[in-house]
Amino acid sequence: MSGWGRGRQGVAVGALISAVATAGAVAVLTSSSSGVLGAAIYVFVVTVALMVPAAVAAQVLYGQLMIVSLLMRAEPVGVLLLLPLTAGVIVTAELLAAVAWLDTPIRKEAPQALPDAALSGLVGAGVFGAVAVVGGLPGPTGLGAVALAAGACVVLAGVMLRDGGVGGARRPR
Amino acid sequence: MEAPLRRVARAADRLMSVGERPPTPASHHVRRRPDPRLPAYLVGGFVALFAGIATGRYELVAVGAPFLVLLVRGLTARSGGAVEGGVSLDTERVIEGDTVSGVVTLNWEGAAEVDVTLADSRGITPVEPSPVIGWSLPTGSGPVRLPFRLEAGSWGVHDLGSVWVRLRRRGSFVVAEQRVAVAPTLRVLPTELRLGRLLKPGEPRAVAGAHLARARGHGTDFAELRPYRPGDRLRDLSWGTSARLGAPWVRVNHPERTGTVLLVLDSVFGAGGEGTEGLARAARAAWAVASVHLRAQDRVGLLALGRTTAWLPPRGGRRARWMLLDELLSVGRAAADPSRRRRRRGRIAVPSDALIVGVTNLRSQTFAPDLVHHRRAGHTVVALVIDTSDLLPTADDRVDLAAQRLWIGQRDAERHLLERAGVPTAVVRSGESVGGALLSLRRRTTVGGSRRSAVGAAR
Repeated sequence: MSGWGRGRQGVAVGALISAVATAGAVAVLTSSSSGVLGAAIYVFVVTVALMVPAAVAAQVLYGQLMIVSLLMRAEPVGVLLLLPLTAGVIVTAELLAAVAWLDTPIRKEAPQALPDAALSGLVGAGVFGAVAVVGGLPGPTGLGAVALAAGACVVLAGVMLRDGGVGGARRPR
Repeated sequence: MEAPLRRVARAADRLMSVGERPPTPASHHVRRRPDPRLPAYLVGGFVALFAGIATGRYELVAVGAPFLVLLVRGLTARSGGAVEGGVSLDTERVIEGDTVSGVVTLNWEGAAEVDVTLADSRGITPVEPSPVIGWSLPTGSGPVRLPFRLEAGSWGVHDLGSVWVRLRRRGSFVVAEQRVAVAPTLRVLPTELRLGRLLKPGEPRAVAGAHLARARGHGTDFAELRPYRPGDRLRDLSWGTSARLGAPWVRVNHPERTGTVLLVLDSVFGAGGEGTEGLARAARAAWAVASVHLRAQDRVGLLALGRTTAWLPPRGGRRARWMLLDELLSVGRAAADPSRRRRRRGRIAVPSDALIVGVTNLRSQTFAPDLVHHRRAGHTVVALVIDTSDLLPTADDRVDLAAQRLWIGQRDAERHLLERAGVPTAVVRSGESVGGALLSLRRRTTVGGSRRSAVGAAR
């Protein structure tokens, strides 16, 4: 990271903090040595993804695996307790993508990276919570969750298309 | 010192209306590259979704749903159309060391983060922005004007590369990359070194000029006194001698004639920055010699040998000056860009009366034998040896030091070879004027081509 600009270093540190916080939460929730080991592997994967952007996919998949492992235990963790973990995985992925975007000698700063990552984390946690709550209602659970997820995607896509995409304020000239 | 050449460069710019030339457009082919999140969210979202459907566990669907939602958001963010723009320079002809200003203009629709860079430039040094000519624009929309300044480092015709743009809408998972415009070509003229001395062509021509001819005739330089013969002009009578000897005697002078100079430029100057700088020094020396002889109404030609070849038959006048400069720039361009190297075919006819001036650092193993060949063919040949020993990398150990000594020893051996063959040489050291070396050569080259050869007598 010696050749990295200060902005890129800052975003990378943010990604690492997010990853460590997520891994720490997983370790606390599992309360086992295998959980601690799994959390350490997650931090390692994030560190690799800082150098190799293609490893962001591995980070996301491994993060999901950690969350699913908490759900599939003999004594499963409450679904709503996993909200911060989902948000943590998403925020980490967003910050890793920002680190990859800053991989150029001319782009030094990404001032929108942290707010955008936080927004994505909130959206992700919200969708996760909504699907989990609706899926837990009586009825055909799998079908209901899928219908909710698909409906959320369609609604959100419609909103985005109506607004003409996501964009910031016009820059003064 | 450069003022006349600079005026000529500006005049050429005006003639060619370079400043009004529209920027060269580039293809608008946009390459779209996925953000690292795109495959990650795609795989993560669908794997969890299908696992949830397969197992009937809604929790798995809940794990995958956020990533699918974010994926949809990233893909629906407007990718926008192509970026349009151009790049222009305030001048396309400058002298070595000059600063050139230019502007990149860009326009695009919608808010986006845009990175702009002028890539693949050769022969120039970025001044502002530095160290890379590039801009990172915050989220916003076009049009924008991005001024920049360059320093013309080495002489030659240099391609300034292309303007590349990388654009990303906020929240989008797709990055668009595009070459927006091709920058103009910059012609960097070598610094003009003013010389006060001319070399002596072997056999001056019949046209009145600045060189003394062996023939007797009407001129200003005294040749001899002889008794008056019918037909002599009365104005040539030497009244003092006639009075002393009691008979009419006339004064006979050498006429001044023009000469023919052929510059033979060795284009083998090593690789990388050392080679470019070495060749630039050689070009400055060659241009200085050419300029002073062209001003004296001599005909000057150019023959480049080595990695690239060029041949310009000796000519005189302003047109010859431009053609010579153009050939020199082509050699410089070939030195900076190996893909531009060219091999000239066809017969090269060296005029029998030409003074051949070799400009070399004696790195090439064939250049010195070529000069000797011309000497044996009866031409008057001299060599300006460009010293590039200061450009060698610093010797870190004894092996490097020995290699440098070997290289310098080999160069001295080549000089001895030339001197023994009757080709006077003079070394042009870094930071020293070419004028001193020319004076040394002039002293050792007499009218008619006879030479005094003295190894080590040259500077």
